[in-house]
Amino acid sequence: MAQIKSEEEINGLVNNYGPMIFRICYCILCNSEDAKDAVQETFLKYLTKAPEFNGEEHRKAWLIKVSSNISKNMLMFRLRREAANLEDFADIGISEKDYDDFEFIMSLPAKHKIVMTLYYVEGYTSKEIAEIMNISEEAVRKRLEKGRKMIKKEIETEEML
Amino acid sequence: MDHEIKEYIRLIGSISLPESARKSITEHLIQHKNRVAKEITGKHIAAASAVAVLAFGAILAARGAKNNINAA
Repeated sequence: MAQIKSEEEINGLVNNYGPMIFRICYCILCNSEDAKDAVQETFLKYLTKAPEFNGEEHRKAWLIKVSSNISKNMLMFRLRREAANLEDFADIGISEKDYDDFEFIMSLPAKHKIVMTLYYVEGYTSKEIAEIMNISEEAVRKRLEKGRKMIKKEIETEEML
Repeated sequence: MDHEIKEYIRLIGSISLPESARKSITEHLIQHKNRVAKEITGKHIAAASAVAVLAFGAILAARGAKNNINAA
């Protein structure tokens, strides 16, 4: 089991991986309070149940997998909070001029957002995403294609208006 | 790369974990770590005490047996 020995290590863990995990959790939950809870839950699991890692990439992949599973579970049982709102956008650092575009992106299905975020933002390959998300490479490619199409369609519609 | 993808990367990339949340998560994790460390220390002390009591009992029993043999 991975051992965290000092407060410095915990600080390093949150600083290094917190922002990435938060992005993934937010893409699924579309709510900053829930996403913060999911990040905390992920790190707690890391402290108590993480295995020995082969390297940083292994650790990162484990954190992505665990955080997305925690977020999906939270989404299933969410009772208290509604989806994304403007207060949330300000809280997580989105500028006001981007609110409309960001709201649209958040309205995309979570399964497309996760795959697109891992591919385009975090730089993973289709094969790596397939392994992390436990789905086929074909499914990853389909989700990427569908996600791209949905965004393109929205942008074209906006330009027509 | 298409314009819409660049936009996606920019918007998702600009999502940031608020500083206050980062601090509170770190504090919570440190508290958890300290609590677990305390519980483990407590368990070790309890286990060590139990072993000491058992060893002491065994010594007394052995002495008693030895005395019985000598008396006989």
